[in-house]
Amino acid sequence: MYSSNRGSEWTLPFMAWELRLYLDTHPNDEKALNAYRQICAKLEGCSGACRTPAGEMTDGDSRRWTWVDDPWPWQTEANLADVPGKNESEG
Amino acid sequence: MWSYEKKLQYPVRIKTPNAKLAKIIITQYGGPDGELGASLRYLSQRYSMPYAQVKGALTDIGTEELGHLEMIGSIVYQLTRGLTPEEIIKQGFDTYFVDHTTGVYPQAASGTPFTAAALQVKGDPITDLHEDMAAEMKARSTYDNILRLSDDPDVSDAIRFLRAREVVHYQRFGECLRHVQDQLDSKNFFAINPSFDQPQKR
Repeated sequence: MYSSNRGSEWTLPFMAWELRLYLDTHPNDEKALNAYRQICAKLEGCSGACRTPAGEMTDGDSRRWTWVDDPWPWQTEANLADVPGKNESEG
Repeated sequence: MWSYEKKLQYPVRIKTPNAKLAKIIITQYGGPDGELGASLRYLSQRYSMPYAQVKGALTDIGTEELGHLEMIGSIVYQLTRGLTPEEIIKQGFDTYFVDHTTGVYPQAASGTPFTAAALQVKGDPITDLHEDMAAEMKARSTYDNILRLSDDPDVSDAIRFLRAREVVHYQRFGECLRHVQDQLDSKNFFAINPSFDQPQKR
C-alpha cells in the first residue's frame, strides 16, 4: 500500500476529506460528524478540507451533516438575497 | 464557486526523470478515463440531479478529481525535468516533445487530445450514477495498468494513492445509486426518469 507515514501535513486534511465524502452519503451519522468536527478543530484555522459554508462549524450543535441540504447554488432559491449596493449603482 | 489550496492532496516526490513513463501516465491527465473527464462528468451531472445528498457527493468527488488532475500533472512535470534532446529521443518522448515541449497537455497516451466524447451527462440520475461507477472502475483499471508498467517506486506510491481513491469513490457512488433507487416508485422502477418525469417543485 501507499505510505501512510508522510506526516500530519497530509494526514489530517485527508482524514477530514474522507469523512466528508462519507457524510455526503450518510448525513445522519452523528459519530462520523463528531469525528469530522474533532479533526477540523485540530487543523489550524480550519482550512482546506474542513472549509465549510458559514454556519457549519459555528453550528456545532447540529446533529446531521447539513452541508448537503438544498438549495444548491445553481437553484433559484439560493440566489434570492439582495446583492449589496446593486440598486444604488443602477439608480 | 471554488477556492484553491496551495498543496497537493498527496505528495509527489520523484527522484529520477523518466519521459517514457510520463508519456504513459499523461493518459490520466487527458485520456478517456482520466481525471479531467472525471471531474467534468461529476460536476456537470449535478444540475439534473434531484437529490440533495447526491448533489453533495458529485460536488465533493468532482472537486477531489481536480486535485487528482493536479497530482497527475505534477508526476508528468517531475518525470520530464532536465532532459536532453538525446534522452528525449531515446525515451520515446520526441513525438510529444515536438508538439508540447515539456508542457503538460491534456491528451491520452496515444496522443489523442482530450475529448468530452469519453464522458456522458444523460440527465437521468440512475443512468448517470451507473456511468459514474463504471468511470471509477475504468480509472482504477488504468491505474492498475500503470502500476504494471511502472518500475519507479516514487511514481507507484502516488499512483497507488490515486488507485485507492477510485475504489472509495466507487463505493460512495454505489451508496448514491441506492439512495436514488430507494425513492423510486416500485411499479416504475426503471421506466421513469426522476429528474424529468417527476420534476421537483420549482
